[in-house]
Amino acid sequence: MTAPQTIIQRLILHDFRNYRHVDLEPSPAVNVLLGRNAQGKTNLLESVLFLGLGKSPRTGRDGELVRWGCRVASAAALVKKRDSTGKLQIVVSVDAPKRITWNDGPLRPRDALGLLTTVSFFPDDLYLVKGGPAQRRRLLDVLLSQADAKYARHLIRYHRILRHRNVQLKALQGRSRGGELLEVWNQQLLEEAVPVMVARARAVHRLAEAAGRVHGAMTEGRERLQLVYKPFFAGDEEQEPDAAWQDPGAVAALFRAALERLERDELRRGVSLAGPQRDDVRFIIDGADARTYASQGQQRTAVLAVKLAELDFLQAETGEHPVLLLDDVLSELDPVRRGFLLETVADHVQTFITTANPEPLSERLMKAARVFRVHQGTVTPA
Amino acid sequence: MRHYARPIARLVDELNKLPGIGPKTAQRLAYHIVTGSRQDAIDLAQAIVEAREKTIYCSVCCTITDTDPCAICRDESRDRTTICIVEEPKDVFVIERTREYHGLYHVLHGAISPMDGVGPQDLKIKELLDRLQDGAVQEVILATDPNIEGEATAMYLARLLKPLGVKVTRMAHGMPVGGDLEYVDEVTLTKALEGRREL
Repeated sequence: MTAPQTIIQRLILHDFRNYRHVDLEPSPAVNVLLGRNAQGKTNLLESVLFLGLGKSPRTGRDGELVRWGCRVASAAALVKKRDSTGKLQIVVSVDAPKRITWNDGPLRPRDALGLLTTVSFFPDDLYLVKGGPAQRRRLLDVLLSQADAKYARHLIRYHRILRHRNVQLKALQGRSRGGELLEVWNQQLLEEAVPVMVARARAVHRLAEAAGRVHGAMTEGRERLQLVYKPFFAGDEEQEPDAAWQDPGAVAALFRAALERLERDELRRGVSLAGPQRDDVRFIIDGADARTYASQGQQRTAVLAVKLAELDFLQAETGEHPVLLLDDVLSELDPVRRGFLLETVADHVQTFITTANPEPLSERLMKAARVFRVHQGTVTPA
Repeated sequence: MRHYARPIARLVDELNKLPGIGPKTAQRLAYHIVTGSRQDAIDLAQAIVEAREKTIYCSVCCTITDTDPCAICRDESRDRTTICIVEEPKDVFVIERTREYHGLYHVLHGAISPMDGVGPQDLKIKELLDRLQDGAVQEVILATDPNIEGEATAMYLARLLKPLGVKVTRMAHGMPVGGDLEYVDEVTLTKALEGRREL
């Protein structure tokens, strides 16, 4: 794999979370952020995700990112891409909308997506297999929004239409027919939902291939991992993905049929039951649903396989390796899986690893890595 | 805002209620008004009162006017077989600026938006249906905003009006003229592609 990398050459924070001022020059390869718990290691990874996604996965309120007692925070990264280098910056204020800039020129949030692509592996991801479907949908949404700006726009519009539709359903609750008032939302819902669902189906198909390969290698061929996209209209018993789910015309027809089938229930309950907000991704190991049957070790292997598949996917879609953020998860993996992960990303993916304890990292890795010590809101090269 | 003199604080508060005016702009405007000439301030105040007192909704098209019916509805040279439907009175002004449209208008005063509690009954739709009674109108152009709420409104009206036998058209979505392809967002581009024309 010799594709170009996305590289953060410099990361500068001002009054971001617990940091007064940070100015780092990370290595293009592995960076280890070493520090005891509650020193703010994760906040550093959060700042990178914030820059990459335009919002933090840890909070819906940007104001929370501003250091206690301050009014304005900023995060900036000097990002090297295939054919350009630029400064991506977000300024957050407690009482004004955030401002995103690229080389000091203003940028709309949707245009900022994809400039700094990331794959993150946080402790919460360990529940990906057995946790709720929202977590699995979120993985797809974050991945696809970074790969394709159009996906993010469809998704945002979709959720706005869905909110209107839910209010409308509440107002119509108890009636037997939705009529025109519902139909105007159905039509728009469909228009935005179909591209979202088709993109999800195609992405899962490709993730499944890559994850299956990685998983086979990690288990030395003893186990077989399958990922299956479950659109909301798919029956529970279906285990094999349906090729039609990647076809916009077929998805639109199935969606339409589901809207008609579910209309009475939706009107009775006053809430939308149809739509990709009820999609899921099934993990299947050796033919059995991993949600019910997988051991903790099997779940971790599956999650790791998916994370590596995400790296692959973004590289293939954007032509550049994304930045990998590993938050305290290496200690959760056994030496074999840990070695597999680090071998896979070595030399071509810029990686940030937070850990309280360098022990799980091999001596060789620690030697090659750039190590930063994180202590009470300061970050210093070790 | 304790640090303002009371009359200024009141003025800032009032200006701040206007759309697009934040606290900082409100403050700038307020100081501009009180430090400028006394006559300018009086003229502004009178203009506001007069505009509010002397304007009404046109009983035909529901736009804001000082005569009833409004100048456009009274204009005998306009094409009375076509009605262009817009959300707000200011949209009439925007389309008039093109000098390309010679039909009549109808102002809905909003768009369907359940989240804001706005349904069809809150819009000037009954007034529109009254205008279509006599069969003189042959085409209705839906020029509601190209956003989610505007589209929902256009769809609702299309379904309501088509059975009446009137031709219903929707403004095309497309590329900004004089713009650069690379600055057009993907959704607009997709719609522009869908609506392409043979040359």
